[in-house]
Amino acid sequence: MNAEPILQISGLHKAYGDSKILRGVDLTVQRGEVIFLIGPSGGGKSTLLRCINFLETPCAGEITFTGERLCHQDNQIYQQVDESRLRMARSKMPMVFQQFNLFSNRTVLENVIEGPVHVLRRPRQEAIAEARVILDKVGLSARLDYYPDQLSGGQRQRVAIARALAMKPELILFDEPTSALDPELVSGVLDTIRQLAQEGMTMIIVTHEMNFARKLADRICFVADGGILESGSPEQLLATPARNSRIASFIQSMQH
Amino acid sequence: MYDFLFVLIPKYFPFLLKGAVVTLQLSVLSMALGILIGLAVALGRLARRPWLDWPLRCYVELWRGVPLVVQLLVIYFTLPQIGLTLSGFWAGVLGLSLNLGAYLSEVFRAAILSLDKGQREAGLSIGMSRNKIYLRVILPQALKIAIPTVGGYFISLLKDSSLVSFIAVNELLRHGSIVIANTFLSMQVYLMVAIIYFVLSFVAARGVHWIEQRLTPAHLRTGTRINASPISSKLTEAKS
Ligand SMILES: Nc1ncnc2c1ncn2[C@@H]1O[C@H](COP(=O)(O)OP(=O)(O)O)[C@@H](O)[C@H]1O
Ligand SMILES: [Mg+2]
Repeated sequence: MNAEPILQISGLHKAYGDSKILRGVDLTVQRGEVIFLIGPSGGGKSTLLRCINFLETPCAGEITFTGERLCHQDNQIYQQVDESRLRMARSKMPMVFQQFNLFSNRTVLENVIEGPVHVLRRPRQEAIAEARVILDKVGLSARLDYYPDQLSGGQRQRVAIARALAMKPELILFDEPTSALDPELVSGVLDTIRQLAQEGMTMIIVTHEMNFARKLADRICFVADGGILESGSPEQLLATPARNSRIASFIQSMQH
Repeated sequence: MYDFLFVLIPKYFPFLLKGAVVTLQLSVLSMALGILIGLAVALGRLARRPWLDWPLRCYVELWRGVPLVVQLLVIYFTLPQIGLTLSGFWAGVLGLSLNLGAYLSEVFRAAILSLDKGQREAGLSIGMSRNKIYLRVILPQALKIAIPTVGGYFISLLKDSSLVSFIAVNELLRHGSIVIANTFLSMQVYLMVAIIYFVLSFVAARGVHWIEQRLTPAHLRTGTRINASPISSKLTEAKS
């Protein structure tokens, strides 16, 4: 293989109280890869993404991101780097949420420059210039001064993607980016993600849009029961049915 | 009537107004301090540290459970016992702001809790620190939510501050009582006092409304409509 992976996860565990949600997840993501996580609701997909971004603190395991080990096991004891290093890492792997989660007291443009100005400490004018370019790319250059509640769901999600892009990320995490959208607004968001894939952006995407995953994925991981039960190229995972009956029945249920 | 308009008012109104100025000073100072106390207590209680939470909670419950006038008397008469002598005015400010702080902390806490955690997580996920998220995302929205209620407390405070006349502060009501003690014209003087309180409250209410409007993004202001979005114009079309 070529260079070192951008993200390397091994033995990741997460429990809430007594309920074990993730039980030893291993995942390696190469630069430029587009990975889809599919699987039944409650299987742990969101928890996995949130642990990668440290919105949730894992219970055990090792995560290495762009060569920096963010957490590991030291003599059975879980250790993670301090908050400021975590923040730096997070800023390079922003997350796009199902519910958009735009800052509702800020305009579209302000949402996008918030991270560059206040996390990356870029000069405001430069940040604005870059934000304009990004917003133009996601088709929102006419909405710079709108507030989030003046936008449609699809527009909001594209602002959220622009906010992530403005961080010049190494990796973007998407948690069901189109699940909260009216059907007619889904394609605009998917087009934006497709464009990012073509530009070589590394992404981990949780979705129920099977056709989209099939066309765009470098690799699809089937997540259930707190682990990645199966992973492979779309052809391997989706085309050859009877390989795993759980996957087959899950995909069957998605067709409806 | 002639007497009231042309003798009593010119003679006593300026004295009452002096009292009104003290009432305003008391209220504005107590409000400012009360907001600071309320915010600090709300943030302290939301920090999820038990050793911090329970004393703050005791403060809030205690102060909300005792009549304001009793609090003022306790402060005025017990602080000197422990060597802290405050003038009536400052005892009044202290009493009023501690009382307000207890109520406002709950207002701020509720406003902060009413914001869903999504925006907080979005901030975290792009690497913002918790403090930054509070300062730039959570507090501005929470304060906006709290403003009408806080404004209501201010208007109440203008009137409740009359209770400090019990601890000999020369504010509006006490100036009224002094005039009455000298003239025995209780009805006329209380009428003037009432009018002044009403005008203060009325102006304050307009002020609160103005601030509310100022802090609302243009497109959400009542009576103005710029930048109507496709959605909102669709909604209004559907309604009309
Ligand atoms: N904060 C939490 N506290 C307790 N249980 C949680 C919490 N978050 C998620 N869970 C549980 O973890 C399981 C996996 O959830 P999630 O990762 O959201 O699954 P998915 O995204 O695949 O639908 C679910 O059973 C859910 O109830
Ligand atoms: Mg989920």
